[in-house]
Amino acid sequence: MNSYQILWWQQAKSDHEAFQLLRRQGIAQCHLLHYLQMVTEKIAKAYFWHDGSSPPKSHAGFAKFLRALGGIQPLDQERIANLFAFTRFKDFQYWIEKPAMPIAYGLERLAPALANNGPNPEYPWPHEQPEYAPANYDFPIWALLTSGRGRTLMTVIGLAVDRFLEYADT
Amino acid sequence: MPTTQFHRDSTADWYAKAHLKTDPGVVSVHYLPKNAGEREIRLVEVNELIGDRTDDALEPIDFGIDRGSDNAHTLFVLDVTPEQWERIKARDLSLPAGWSLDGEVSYLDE
Repeated sequence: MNSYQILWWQQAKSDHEAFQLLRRQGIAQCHLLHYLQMVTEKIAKAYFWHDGSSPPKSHAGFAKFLRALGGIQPLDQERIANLFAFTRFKDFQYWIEKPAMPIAYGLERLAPALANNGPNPEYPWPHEQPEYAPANYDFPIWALLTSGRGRTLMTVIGLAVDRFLEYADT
Repeated sequence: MPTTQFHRDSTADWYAKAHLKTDPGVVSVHYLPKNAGEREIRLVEVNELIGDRTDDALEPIDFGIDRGSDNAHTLFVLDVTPEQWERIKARDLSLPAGWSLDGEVSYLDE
Protein backbone atom coordinates (compact mmCIF):
# COMPACT_ATOMS: atom_id res chain seq x y z
CA MET A 1 0.00 0.00 0.00
CA ASN A 2 1.36 3.42 -0.88
CA SER A 3 1.13 6.73 0.95
CA TYR A 4 -1.55 8.08 -1.43
CA GLN A 5 -3.81 5.19 -0.60
CA ILE A 6 -3.35 5.77 3.10
CA LEU A 7 -4.39 9.42 2.81
CA TRP A 8 -7.54 8.65 0.81
CA TRP A 9 -8.40 5.77 3.14
CA GLN A 10 -7.97 7.96 6.23
CA GLN A 11 -10.39 10.51 4.79
CA ALA A 12 -12.89 7.80 3.81
CA LYS A 13 -12.68 6.37 7.33
CA SER A 14 -13.34 9.73 8.92
CA ASP A 15 -16.26 10.40 6.55
CA HIS A 16 -17.67 6.98 7.46
CA GLU A 17 -17.47 7.75 11.16
CA ALA A 18 -19.36 10.97 10.50
CA PHE A 19 -21.97 9.06 8.48
CA GLN A 20 -22.55 6.58 11.31
CA LEU A 21 -22.83 9.36 13.85
CA LEU A 22 -25.37 11.20 11.72
CA ARG A 23 -27.35 8.02 11.02
CA ARG A 24 -27.71 7.39 14.75
CA GLN A 25 -28.93 10.95 15.24
CA GLY A 26 -31.57 10.56 12.57
CA ILE A 27 -30.97 13.91 10.91
CA ALA A 28 -32.17 14.86 7.41
CA GLN A 29 -31.51 12.25 4.73
CA CYS A 30 -29.52 14.69 2.60
CA HIS A 31 -26.71 14.84 5.15
CA LEU A 32 -26.57 11.06 5.53
CA LEU A 33 -26.48 10.63 1.78
CA HIS A 34 -23.87 13.35 1.33
CA TYR A 35 -21.50 11.60 3.72
CA LEU A 36 -22.21 8.15 2.35
CA GLN A 37 -21.57 9.34 -1.20
CA MET A 38 -18.27 10.83 -0.07
CA VAL A 39 -17.27 7.62 1.73
CA THR A 40 -17.90 5.52 -1.36
CA GLU A 41 -16.10 7.93 -3.68
CA LYS A 42 -13.05 8.13 -1.42
CA ILE A 43 -12.70 4.43 -0.63
CA ALA A 44 -12.85 3.76 -4.38
CA LYS A 45 -10.13 6.36 -4.99
CA ALA A 46 -8.03 4.88 -2.17
CA TYR A 47 -8.24 1.52 -3.89
CA PHE A 48 -7.53 2.79 -7.41
CA TRP A 49 -4.39 4.57 -6.21
CA HIS A 50 -2.81 1.12 -5.76
CA ASP A 51 -0.74 1.38 -8.93
CA GLY A 52 0.63 4.75 -7.82
CA SER A 53 -1.13 6.84 -10.45
CA SER A 54 -3.97 9.24 -9.88
CA PRO A 55 -7.49 7.96 -10.57
CA PRO A 56 -9.85 10.29 -12.51
CA LYS A 57 -11.12 13.32 -10.57
CA SER A 58 -14.71 12.28 -11.32
CA HIS A 59 -17.14 11.67 -8.46
CA ALA A 60 -18.00 8.35 -10.09
CA GLY A 61 -15.90 5.34 -9.15
CA PHE A 62 -17.79 3.34 -6.55
CA ALA A 63 -19.53 1.08 -9.08
CA LYS A 64 -16.20 0.52 -10.81
CA PHE A 65 -14.64 -0.29 -7.43
CA LEU A 66 -17.29 -2.94 -6.72
CA ARG A 67 -16.79 -4.38 -10.21
CA ALA A 68 -13.04 -4.53 -9.63
CA LEU A 69 -13.61 -6.52 -6.45
CA GLY A 70 -15.98 -8.81 -8.32
CA GLY A 71 -13.36 -9.34 -11.03
CA ILE A 72 -10.48 -10.18 -8.74
CA GLN A 73 -8.05 -12.93 -9.84
CA PRO A 74 -8.95 -16.51 -8.82
CA LEU A 75 -6.14 -16.79 -6.30
CA ASP A 76 -7.64 -14.03 -4.14
CA GLN A 77 -11.34 -14.67 -4.70
CA GLU A 78 -12.17 -16.63 -1.57
CA ARG A 79 -10.19 -14.29 0.67
CA ILE A 80 -11.89 -11.22 -0.79
CA ALA A 81 -15.36 -12.75 -0.48
CA ASN A 82 -14.66 -13.63 3.16
CA LEU A 83 -13.32 -10.14 3.87
CA PHE A 84 -16.70 -8.79 2.81
CA ALA A 85 -18.49 -11.45 4.90
CA PHE A 86 -19.60 -13.60 1.98
CA THR A 87 -19.02 -17.33 2.24
CA ARG A 88 -18.62 -17.90 -1.51
CA PHE A 89 -17.08 -15.65 -4.14
CA LYS A 90 -19.82 -16.42 -6.68
CA ASP A 91 -22.40 -15.13 -4.16
CA PHE A 92 -20.33 -11.98 -3.74
CA GLN A 93 -20.17 -11.50 -7.53
CA TYR A 94 -23.91 -12.05 -7.90
CA TRP A 95 -24.63 -9.64 -5.06
CA ILE A 96 -22.45 -6.95 -6.68
CA GLU A 97 -24.09 -7.25 -10.10
CA LYS A 98 -27.71 -7.63 -9.01
CA PRO A 99 -28.79 -6.07 -5.71
CA ALA A 100 -25.84 -3.73 -5.13
CA MET A 101 -25.07 -2.17 -8.50
CA PRO A 102 -28.27 -0.11 -8.96
CA ILE A 103 -27.80 1.41 -5.51
CA ALA A 104 -24.10 2.02 -6.21
CA TYR A 105 -24.97 3.96 -9.36
CA GLY A 106 -27.64 5.84 -7.43
CA LEU A 107 -25.08 6.89 -4.85
CA GLU A 108 -22.71 8.10 -7.57
CA ARG A 109 -25.45 10.18 -9.16
CA LEU A 110 -26.03 12.02 -5.89
CA ALA A 111 -22.90 14.12 -6.45
CA PRO A 112 -24.17 17.49 -7.74
CA ALA A 113 -21.87 17.27 -10.77
CA LEU A 114 -23.57 14.00 -11.79
CA ALA A 115 -27.10 14.76 -10.62
CA ASN A 116 -28.15 16.34 -13.92
CA ASN A 117 -29.66 19.38 -12.22
CA GLY A 118 -31.88 17.07 -10.16
CA PRO A 119 -31.95 15.59 -6.66
CA ASN A 120 -28.65 15.93 -4.85
CA PRO A 121 -27.85 16.22 -1.15
CA GLU A 122 -26.15 19.62 -1.26
CA TYR A 123 -27.90 22.30 -3.30
CA PRO A 124 -31.51 23.27 -4.12
CA TRP A 125 -32.56 22.27 -7.63
CA PRO A 126 -33.10 22.91 -10.48
CA HIS A 127 -30.37 25.50 -10.53
CA GLU A 128 -32.23 28.04 -12.70
CA GLN A 129 -35.48 28.07 -10.74
CA PRO A 130 -35.11 26.03 -7.55
CA GLU A 131 -38.16 24.08 -6.47
CA TYR A 132 -36.63 21.69 -3.95
CA ALA A 133 -34.26 21.92 -0.99
CA PRO A 134 -32.31 18.77 -0.14
CA ALA A 135 -33.13 19.14 3.56
CA ASN A 136 -36.87 18.68 2.87
CA TYR A 137 -36.59 16.04 0.18
CA ASP A 138 -37.49 12.38 0.60
CA PHE A 139 -34.77 10.66 -1.45
CA PRO A 140 -35.90 7.40 -3.08
CA ILE A 141 -32.37 6.03 -2.70
CA TRP A 142 -32.60 6.39 1.09
CA ALA A 143 -35.62 4.09 1.07
CA LEU A 144 -33.53 1.61 -0.93
CA LEU A 145 -30.61 1.93 1.46
CA THR A 146 -32.78 1.20 4.47
CA SER A 147 -34.21 -1.96 2.85
CA GLY A 148 -32.56 -5.35 3.33
CA ARG A 149 -30.32 -5.04 0.28
CA GLY A 150 -29.41 -1.48 1.14
CA ARG A 151 -28.47 -2.43 4.67
CA THR A 152 -26.25 -5.17 3.24
CA LEU A 153 -24.57 -2.54 1.07
CA MET A 154 -24.07 -0.32 4.13
CA THR A 155 -22.45 -3.26 5.91
CA VAL A 156 -20.18 -3.92 2.93
CA ILE A 157 -19.21 -0.24 2.74
CA GLY A 158 -18.30 -0.40 6.44
CA LEU A 159 -16.17 -3.49 5.84
CA ALA A 160 -14.57 -1.87 2.80
CA VAL A 161 -13.41 0.93 5.06
CA ASP A 162 -12.52 -1.09 8.15
CA ARG A 163 -10.64 -3.81 6.24
CA PHE A 164 -9.03 -1.67 3.57
CA LEU A 165 -5.51 -2.58 4.68
CA GLU A 166 -6.28 -6.24 3.99
CA TYR A 167 -7.15 -5.78 0.32
CA ALA A 168 -5.55 -2.47 -0.67
CA ASP A 169 -2.84 -4.17 -2.72
CA THR A 170 -5.04 -6.84 -4.26
CA MET B 1 -44.95 5.31 10.60
CA PRO B 2 -47.25 6.19 13.51
CA THR B 3 -47.05 9.90 14.30
CA THR B 4 -48.62 9.95 17.76
CA GLN B 5 -46.64 9.62 21.01
CA PHE B 6 -44.17 6.78 20.94
CA HIS B 7 -45.32 3.28 21.81
CA ARG B 8 -42.49 0.84 21.37
CA ASP B 9 -44.45 -2.35 20.73
CA SER B 10 -46.91 -0.86 18.26
CA THR B 11 -44.10 0.92 16.42
CA ALA B 12 -42.15 -2.36 16.21
CA ASP B 13 -45.30 -4.03 14.90
CA TRP B 14 -45.60 -1.34 12.22
CA TYR B 15 -41.97 -1.73 11.14
CA ALA B 16 -42.13 -5.52 11.04
CA LYS B 17 -45.26 -5.59 8.89
CA ALA B 18 -44.02 -2.81 6.60
CA HIS B 19 -40.67 -4.50 6.03
CA LEU B 20 -42.31 -7.85 5.30
CA LYS B 21 -44.62 -6.19 2.83
CA THR B 22 -42.09 -4.04 0.98
CA ASP B 23 -38.86 -6.05 1.08
CA PRO B 24 -39.02 -9.07 -1.23
CA GLY B 25 -36.11 -10.90 0.43
CA VAL B 26 -37.47 -10.73 3.97
CA VAL B 27 -39.25 -13.95 4.96
CA SER B 28 -39.68 -13.25 8.66
CA VAL B 29 -39.10 -10.48 11.17
CA HIS B 30 -38.46 -11.06 14.86
CA TYR B 31 -38.99 -8.31 17.40
CA LEU B 32 -36.80 -8.76 20.48
CA PRO B 33 -37.99 -6.44 23.25
CA LYS B 34 -36.14 -7.97 26.20
CA ASN B 35 -33.32 -5.75 27.57
CA ALA B 36 -34.04 -3.06 24.96
CA GLY B 37 -34.33 0.55 26.10
CA GLU B 38 -37.74 2.20 26.25
CA ARG B 39 -37.10 3.95 22.96
CA GLU B 40 -35.12 1.21 21.30
CA ILE B 41 -36.53 -1.31 18.83
CA ARG B 42 -34.54 -4.43 18.02
CA LEU B 43 -35.48 -6.42 14.94
CA VAL B 44 -33.92 -9.51 13.40
CA GLU B 45 -34.85 -9.75 9.71
CA VAL B 46 -34.40 -13.09 7.99
CA ASN B 47 -33.53 -12.42 4.38
CA GLU B 48 -33.26 -15.16 1.79
CA LEU B 49 -31.75 -12.91 -0.89
CA ILE B 50 -28.50 -11.93 0.80
CA GLY B 51 -26.60 -15.15 0.05
CA ASP B 52 -24.60 -17.16 2.53
CA ARG B 53 -22.75 -14.79 4.81
CA THR B 54 -19.99 -15.34 7.30
CA ASP B 55 -20.78 -14.48 10.89
CA ASP B 56 -18.62 -11.33 10.64
CA ALA B 57 -21.60 -9.45 9.30
CA LEU B 58 -23.69 -10.15 12.37
CA GLU B 59 -23.89 -6.58 13.58
CA PRO B 60 -27.09 -4.59 13.68
CA ILE B 61 -27.41 -1.33 11.80
CA ASP B 62 -28.88 1.45 13.89
CA PHE B 63 -31.03 4.33 12.70
CA GLY B 64 -32.10 7.33 14.74
CA ILE B 65 -35.72 8.13 13.91
CA ASP B 66 -37.73 11.30 14.50
CA ARG B 67 -35.20 12.88 16.84
CA GLY B 68 -36.55 15.88 18.71
CA SER B 69 -40.14 14.69 18.54
CA ASP B 70 -42.38 12.71 20.90
CA ASN B 71 -41.85 9.76 18.58
CA ALA B 72 -38.03 9.76 18.84
CA HIS B 73 -36.50 6.29 18.94
CA THR B 74 -33.65 4.14 17.68
CA LEU B 75 -34.25 1.27 15.30
CA PHE B 76 -31.72 -1.57 15.25
CA VAL B 77 -31.98 -4.09 12.42
CA LEU B 78 -29.93 -7.27 12.30
CA ASP B 79 -30.06 -8.95 8.87
CA VAL B 80 -29.45 -12.69 8.88
CA THR B 81 -29.75 -15.54 6.42
CA PRO B 82 -32.29 -18.34 7.04
CA GLU B 83 -29.38 -20.63 7.98
CA GLN B 84 -28.05 -18.12 10.49
CA TRP B 85 -31.51 -17.71 12.02
CA GLU B 86 -31.75 -21.46 12.54
CA ARG B 87 -28.37 -21.41 14.29
CA ILE B 88 -29.43 -18.46 16.45
CA LYS B 89 -32.56 -20.34 17.54
CA ALA B 90 -30.44 -23.43 18.28
CA ARG B 91 -28.13 -21.20 20.41
CA ASP B 92 -25.31 -22.16 18.05
CA LEU B 93 -24.79 -18.56 16.94
CA SER B 94 -24.82 -15.61 19.34
CA LEU B 95 -26.98 -12.55 19.03
CA PRO B 96 -25.35 -9.15 19.61
CA ALA B 97 -24.47 -8.50 23.26
CA GLY B 98 -27.56 -7.86 25.36
CA TRP B 99 -30.02 -9.18 22.77
CA SER B 100 -32.27 -12.05 23.79
CA LEU B 101 -34.80 -14.35 22.17
CA ASP B 102 -36.89 -14.35 25.35
CA GLY B 103 -40.19 -12.61 24.67
CA GLU B 104 -39.60 -12.68 20.92
CA VAL B 105 -42.52 -11.66 18.70
CA SER B 106 -42.40 -13.22 15.24
CA TYR B 107 -43.91 -11.94 11.99
CA LEU B 108 -43.98 -14.25 9.00
CA ASP B 109 -44.36 -13.52 5.30
CA GLU B 110 -47.78 -14.71 4.15
